[in-house]
Amino acid sequence: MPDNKRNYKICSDEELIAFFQKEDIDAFNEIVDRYKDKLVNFIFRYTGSKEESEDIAQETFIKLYLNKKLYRDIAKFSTWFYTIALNITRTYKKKESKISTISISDYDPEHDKDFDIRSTVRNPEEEAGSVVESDYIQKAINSLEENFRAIIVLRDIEELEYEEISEILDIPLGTVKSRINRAREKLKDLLKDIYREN
Amino acid sequence: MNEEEKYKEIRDKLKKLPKIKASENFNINLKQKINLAESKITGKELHKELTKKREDNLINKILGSTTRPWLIPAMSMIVIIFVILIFVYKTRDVQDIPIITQEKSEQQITSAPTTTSETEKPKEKQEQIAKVEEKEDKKTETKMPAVKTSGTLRSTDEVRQAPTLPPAETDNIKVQTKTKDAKGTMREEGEKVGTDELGKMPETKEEKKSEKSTIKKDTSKVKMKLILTEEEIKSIRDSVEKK
Repeated sequence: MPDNKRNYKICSDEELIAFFQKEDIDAFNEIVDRYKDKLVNFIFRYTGSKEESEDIAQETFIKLYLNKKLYRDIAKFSTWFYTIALNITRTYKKKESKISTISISDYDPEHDKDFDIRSTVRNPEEEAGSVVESDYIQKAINSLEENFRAIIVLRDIEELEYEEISEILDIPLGTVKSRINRAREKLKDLLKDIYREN
Repeated sequence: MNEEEKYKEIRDKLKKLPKIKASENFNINLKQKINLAESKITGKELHKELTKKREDNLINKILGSTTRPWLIPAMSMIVIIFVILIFVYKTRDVQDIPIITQEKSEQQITSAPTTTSETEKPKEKQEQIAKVEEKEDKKTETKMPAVKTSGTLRSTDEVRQAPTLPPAETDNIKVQTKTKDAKGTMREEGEKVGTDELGKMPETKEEKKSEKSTIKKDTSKVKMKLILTEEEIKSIRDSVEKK
């Protein structure tokens, strides 16, 4: 039973999942509040679709809700949770690729006009310029190979540790480092090409 | 660290990317989806429970385990025995088939030349011949050595079947034929047979005639019962004529 005096804001992720494993729904709600934006952002940057990112994020939370007892206090909760999210996203994209043969690189920036972008104190011109630039970057990320895209998003956008990325992608630490550098190099080249085109 | 500095520009660009927020309806939608998923799971569980109950009811109806629990092992034993019987019956059938065919083939091979009726007939013939010979022997009273065909000779069928006669029998026949024709020279050859077997020589004409008749009969028997070579038959005839 949930403890009314419990302050969930102070609790760590591992503590929250432990409470949730004891049927504490408030702990689950706290996890949702903490991770929903992170997860939607991660999935959006990985897939390039706002609708898909919300659906996949919700599916990830449902998985967590139904399989809460599968978590063991061996790894960090965030690592385990990102792994679930990435697996669901990959299967989602596989299913999607079977249904339609349209490439992900056909990303239309106008389609995502109603993004709820975090408010920053910028003048309209600057903001317009940054939106255009972010679209270009997103386009470049989408044109990356799947392995490079995942590693770039996890490291340079979500700012996860190398060890965490190693666990999520299930690859050695050295491979993570080398692959990140190669991904950055590729992204740099892609961005150059995009800037030239525009 | 050098690698990090090398890509600092691109890293900064990626960090500056606007953070996408979840929509305001995210939590509500999530709760709805969770409820739906739970209801599906509970539905599945309920369905499983219902099917289990139905199966249990069926089993109970069949076996009546609640009222007569002793029926379960008894029924199972009957089923097991029935299965074993079927298995044994089938395996027997499978084993019997080749044996039957083998037996049939063997019968086909053996029964072609001789049948039981055919084998019985020579015995009767032999017996009849033996009786006739005994009568003839009594008549002649062994003035000449009797041709002992009854013991040694076989029926024509038997002889035909047998590819070659055993050496002892053939010798005996030859000896017997020699005793018939060469009375003077017999003594030389008679050493093989023995003088006792030769018996007394005929003296009177009547006795000679009767002897000739018996010899003729004997030769005819030999012709009938044995497949002798033409040379042997000629030699027998010559000896009879000489006599």
